[in-house]
Parts: sequence; C-alpha cells; structure tokens
Amino acid sequence: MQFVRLSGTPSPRRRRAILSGALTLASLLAGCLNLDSFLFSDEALDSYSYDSYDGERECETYLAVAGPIDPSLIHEVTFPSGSETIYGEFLHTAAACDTGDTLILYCHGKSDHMDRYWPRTRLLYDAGFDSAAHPSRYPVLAFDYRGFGRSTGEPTEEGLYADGAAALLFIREHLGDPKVMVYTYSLGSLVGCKLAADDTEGRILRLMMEAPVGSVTAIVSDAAYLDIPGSMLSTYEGNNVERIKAVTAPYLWLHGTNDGTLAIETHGQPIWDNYAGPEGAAVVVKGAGHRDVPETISADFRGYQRIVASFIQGREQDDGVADLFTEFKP
Amino acid sequence: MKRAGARFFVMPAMAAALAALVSCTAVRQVRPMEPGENVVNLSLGGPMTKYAGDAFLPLPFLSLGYNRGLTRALDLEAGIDLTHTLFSNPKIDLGVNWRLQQPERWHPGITLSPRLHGVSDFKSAVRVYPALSMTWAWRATRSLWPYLGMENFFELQWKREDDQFQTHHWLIAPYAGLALCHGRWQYQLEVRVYTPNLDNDYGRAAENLGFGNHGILGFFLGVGRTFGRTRADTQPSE
Repeated sequence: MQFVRLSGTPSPRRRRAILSGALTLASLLAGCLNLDSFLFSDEALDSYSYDSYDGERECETYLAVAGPIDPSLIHEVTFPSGSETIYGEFLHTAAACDTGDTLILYCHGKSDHMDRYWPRTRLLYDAGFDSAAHPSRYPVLAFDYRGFGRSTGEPTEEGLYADGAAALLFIREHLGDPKVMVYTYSLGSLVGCKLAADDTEGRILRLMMEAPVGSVTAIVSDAAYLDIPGSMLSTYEGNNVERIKAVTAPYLWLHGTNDGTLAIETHGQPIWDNYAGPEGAAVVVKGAGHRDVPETISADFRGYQRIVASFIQGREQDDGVADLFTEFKP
Repeated sequence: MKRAGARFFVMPAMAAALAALVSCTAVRQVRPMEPGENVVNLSLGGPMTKYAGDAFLPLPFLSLGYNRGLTRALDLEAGIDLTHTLFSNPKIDLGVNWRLQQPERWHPGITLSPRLHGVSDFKSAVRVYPALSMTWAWRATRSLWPYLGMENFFELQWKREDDQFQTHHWLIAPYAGLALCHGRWQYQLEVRVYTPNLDNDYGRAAENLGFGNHGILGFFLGVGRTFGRTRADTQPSE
C-alpha cells in the first residue's frame, strides 16, 4: 500500500476529483434520514401495572387522593388498527356501556405508554363523581398508539390517526355505542382534533384538548427561535390550527400560561382563535406548565374535574362553575 | 414490565440546534492565512441537549469547512453541515474573514466575518440568514491561539410559516476557544453560549443546558489541515 502525502496546492484535476467526490457524497447522504420517528418517546411494555407502576407518571398525586382502584373496574381490551394490535384500558363497572352512557375517549401524550398517564385516566373516570351519594362516573377508554406500551408496530403520524379511528370503531362495535367525548393531552391532540374534524356522522359530541399541539411547524420554530418550517425536520404535517376550523363539536381548551413544551401563544391560542364551532370554553391556567394543569387549578383536582364534568354536561356557563372558565365562545 | 428503552426526543433538539444556525458552522479559522493557503477543517459538536436519557450531551453536528486565503487581510470561508444534510435539510454557509488587525505581541488580531447561512428541505422551503461575527485572537505562543468573540445572527422574516409573528430577529452567541496550530495541522476547542439573552425553558420542547433558564451551552472540537503555502512558508521562524 502506498501512502501519498498531501501537500502543496492540489492540482486542478485533484480539485475536481475532490469536489465531485464531495458532491457525490453529499447527494448520497442528503435526505437519507429524517426525524419523524423521533417525535415520539414511546416505550414498549410486556404488561400494564396501573396503580402499582413505578416509573415516571403525570398527576401522580391524584392516586393518593383517589385511593386504590377496584381492579374489577379495569378491562384490558385489544382492537385491530390495520395490521397492528392496539391495547386499551376500559374503565367501567361493566364490560360495555349502556345506550345513553357518556364515554370519554382519552388520547394520551407522546411519552411512554398508558401507565404513565394512568392517574390522568383515573382523573377523567372520576370527573363526574360528586360524592359517595352521587357516584356518577364516566366510562373511559384509553389506548396506546402503535409502538407504545403493548401495542404492536412503530408510531407514525398516519398510524396515530388510524389508531384513533380504530378506537372509535371499537367503541361503536364493542362498547355499546355510547355518546363519545374526546379528551386529548399534548400530542394526543393531533389524534383527537383529526377525529373531530373528520367526524361527518356527528359521533364525537364534544372535544376537549389540554395543552394541544398547534402544528409541527410551531414545535420546530419555537425550538429554533426562527422561522423554520416543520418540513425541514419532519414529513409530518399535523396542524391543529388549521384542522380546528373543520370541527363542529363543542370545544374545551385547557392550557397553562407557563407551558415550557408547547407555548400557549403559538399552540393553544391560535387553535382557540380559529375555532368557529357552536360552543367553545377556554381555561387558561395561570402558572401551570405542560404537565400540571389539573393540579394547578386546584391541588385536590376537584376544580379540574368540575370543569371537565360541567363541559361534558353542557352546563359550563351555569352559576357556580362559570367562574372556573376564562372565556366562552360565542 | 418495560420491554425496551425510550426513544430519543431528537426532533426538537435538532430544531434547537437550528436555533443558532451558527451552531452548525465549522469552528472558525483563527490564525491569519496567507494568500493561496487552503485549510480544510472538520468539527464536531453542538448545543448541550438532553436527547439520550437524562444527561446533557452536545448534539453531534459534524461540519466540513474550507478556508482560502485571498490576501493577508481577507480569506474566503465555506462550510457544509453534514449532519443536517443527512437529515434532509442541507445547510451551507459562505462568507469571508476580514482581518481588520493582525495580531502582534499582546495586541489581538481582530477579524470581522460576515456570512450567509442557507438551509433547505430539498422540497419547497429555503431559508437564508445573514450573520456577522467579530473575533479577537491572541498569539499566546508560536502555536497557541486563544480567542473570543461574538456571533450575531439575523432573522429577517416578520411572520413564521405557521402565521405567528416572528419575535426574535437578532440572536447572539458569544464564544471563546483555543486553537493549537502544529505544522500543517490545527486543533481547536470552542465553547459557545447561544442566545444567552433568551429564555431556554419556555415553549421549547427541547431541554438544553444553559445558565439558569437562559442561553444554551455548546461545545465543539475541530481539526484542520492546511494545503498550499502556509504562514510558516512565507515568514521566518521566530
């Protein structure tokens, strides 16, 4: 093997060779990767632990407030979404709803799996609970998107939407076809808002979005401080700011003023501004960050639960609860 | 029971690096160049970001840079960010280093560097950002060049792609470094603080290491190789 010492000015031939080599390399490398899959922080599981999960959780203190759950209320379900198997948790006293029941379909955030969001699922289940004398609760179906928890496959934007639609179908065909309210948190807003915007049959009676994503572009631009289009980092086109225009269901928006992940000004507020449906209610929570809206409203979570329950019941403007809201539309 | 580790939340982290497109620039050419001298350098580093577990690590941006001495006071500079190119948005920069003052004893060399940074997604979006930096470099020994300076980066758009108002138009990044020049090789370590005047904790999905909740700390390592005539060829050794 002969080593050639590179010194002196490269000859024109060598320069051309170096240049064409560099250009070839650049064109071969360019675009061969993208960051789409990195939008998710999914974690796979072999089984769900519910109350006894020892990993990071959101609204964890609610479990101490609520106490241990009766295991008979938890129904682990599976349903197909394309070629994938989606795992869900159905919380209810029975394996299916009765006609006329109100079910909350919960679309969780970008991290881990349902165990992380278990306290939030329970919060929603208990939202309508007034007292031991009036134990009115809402059945909740939470599910893991493909690639999250026990659900098979890899997460993609299209997969999120397909899994949301599959959950809706499962509710109709296997859970007694109850009235459906969709509650989304963070990334889940892409799923819930899409379901509501595409809902030509009026199956989704109300849409609730906590700390929603405005658009992929807003995520990128906020992180960059610059006008960087989302297309520079991702092929994903999720845009709730536009999608909300097609939503005709009543809409509840909750957002913390100190949201360090999805800023209220560039995510939640533009969605709210573009909502032109029949009934809107906003709860802007002073001092709340991305994860702690429920407990910032009130440490015992009852304020949050009253907001959710009153909105589900369509009486958010009633005396006694209206002051929990920041703004109404129209 | 967990079955696999968590994915990395890299997309906002990459965007955070775009925060200071200067972050993706190859380390700067500190030592004055001779006319006809060529330097090719490779640098690795980026903003300290939490993208793999709980530790803050420099994002691994790999950049290739080229400098050519035009006169003793002016050299041409071009660079391409290979990591961004790999991830579908090639970023190039082009500029000059205008050596306003040559270093002499303890008087620093002063270099003004106007640049244009261009980034594209290979599809429809193209962004061009002007930048201006000023560097003070001392020749501490025959081979050691400590330096410091400030990069100024300008966003000219008034509205963002998502129709929100663009609130930041002037981004700054002070830096300090050490260049070791040995024969035809030069090695460099540089520390930058991106946007020390801006909150790094609000509305940004990426988690960066800064000072309190301001600024983003970045580290870079660089290695360069000189081709063609060098200062050593044209000046007697001291």
